[in-house]
Amino acid sequence: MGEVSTVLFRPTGLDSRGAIISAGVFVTANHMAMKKLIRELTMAEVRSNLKYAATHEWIEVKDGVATVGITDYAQEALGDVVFVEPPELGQQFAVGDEIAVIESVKAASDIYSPVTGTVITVNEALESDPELVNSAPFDAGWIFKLQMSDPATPVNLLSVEQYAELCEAEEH
Amino acid sequence: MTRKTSLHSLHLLAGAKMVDFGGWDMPIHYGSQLQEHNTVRQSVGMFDVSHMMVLDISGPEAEAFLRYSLANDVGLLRDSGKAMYSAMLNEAGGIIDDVIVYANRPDFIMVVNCSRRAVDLAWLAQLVAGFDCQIKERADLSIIALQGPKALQTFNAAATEQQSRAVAALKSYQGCYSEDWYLARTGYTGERGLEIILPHQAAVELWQRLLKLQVSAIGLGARDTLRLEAGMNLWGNEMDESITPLEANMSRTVVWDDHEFVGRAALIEQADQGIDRQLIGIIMQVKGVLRAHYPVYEESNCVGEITSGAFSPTLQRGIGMARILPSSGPLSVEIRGKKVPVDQVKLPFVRNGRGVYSLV
Repeated sequence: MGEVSTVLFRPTGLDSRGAIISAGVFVTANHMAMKKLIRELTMAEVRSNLKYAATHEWIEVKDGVATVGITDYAQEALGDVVFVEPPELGQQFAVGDEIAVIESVKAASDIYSPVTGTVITVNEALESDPELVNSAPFDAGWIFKLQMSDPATPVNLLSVEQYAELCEAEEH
Repeated sequence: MTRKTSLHSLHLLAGAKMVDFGGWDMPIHYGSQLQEHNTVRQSVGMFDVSHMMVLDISGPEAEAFLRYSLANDVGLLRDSGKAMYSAMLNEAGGIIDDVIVYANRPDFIMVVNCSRRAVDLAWLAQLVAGFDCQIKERADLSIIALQGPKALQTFNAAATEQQSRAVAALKSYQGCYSEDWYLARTGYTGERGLEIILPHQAAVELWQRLLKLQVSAIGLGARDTLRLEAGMNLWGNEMDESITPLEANMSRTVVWDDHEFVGRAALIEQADQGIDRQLIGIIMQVKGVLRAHYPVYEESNCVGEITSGAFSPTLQRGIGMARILPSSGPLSVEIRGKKVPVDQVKLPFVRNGRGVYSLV
């Protein structure tokens, strides 16, 4: 689903369990410096070929069909996803409607429809593997597709730069 | 001022997500709470639980004091080091805290919840007047819990020969001193394992040795889902000062005979009159997640609410505990405005890595 063109974070310093590799060298660093380092290392990925909603959904528009998921930043904030309640096929939604629910180990979160349209597909793989939302939020973890009522890309969505700024602002 | 355990900087180095927990800056997870949960069920994991308070209860009347202070009867602890779970009650029978006591006669160790530290200390100080007994907070000690089917062999790989021998001699729910460490076959996960009470510097060294052995650190998030699967109560969720042990599925931990204890009269009166609310286990019939405070229904009547709820990684379903009026009909839980049927189960949900619950 497109290339990674902007990577704010590359986890070369983390092992598979999320531990910092060769952490010993940081032992004497003060806590503030360490916290800052960890925050920088764990910044989220964003992609320039996508549009974003301020509520942390991403949207890819192709031939009048919008594919929707949640961003890497959002899945990181939610923690492990354990259940996705998808919308019903054929149902219509307007911009901003509650359309789906993601249940993580932490909380239940509403997903809002970023465009107006009709549900034509939901990602059935999430029924047995909801953790795809965590492991591949921009790819195999997509949630649903909408046939857009107006095929023009909506103007209220954020560009990758605007969305990255929003995430940065929410961190502080 | 947020308090930090001796292992705090090691949690930061591991990239843990930290949260405030009862005034302590503690790791909620180190990347994936689900993975941590499954690691404990399938292999072994280590927990920093140094935020819990360790008390030395000593003196000639230590036993008499604890028999008066606790609803369970430490007089029944025969073997040295044997552990006991008990509620500590107020006069009305409400639960001030739930504690673990280890008998090392004439002295005892008591471990209490961090969130109840100040309340417990004030309460115990008031009760202890009149007993020839001293209570000492051991702020010089950390606690590491090592839990999972491989916990004991993992400990042996990290321990001295003397410590390994000490652990090998322990039965389940028993502890012993090994020099200045206290080693106990107890835990809060429903798995085999150890809780190790030891000086701060030793805790840092043990944690680092276990890291070298590839033992995963487990955060408080997984600790909560593990204890819920194990059917164990959490103070503040299943218990508080207005809830008695009879209303918290803890009747088995109350010993009525042969010892007078604070709250006994109130409990006897309640038992005579019959309890009007009970704590039960519930499980969803379809996929989903139960959460604390969701209302529980019998037909169209709201009969109570969920006290703790989660997605069970072991059972792959929503599970919870709920406090409800005595009811016999089929139950449902309201999730986002929709009533979803649930089954009542006999706790625990999970023991030693496997689902063991039966439908009621």
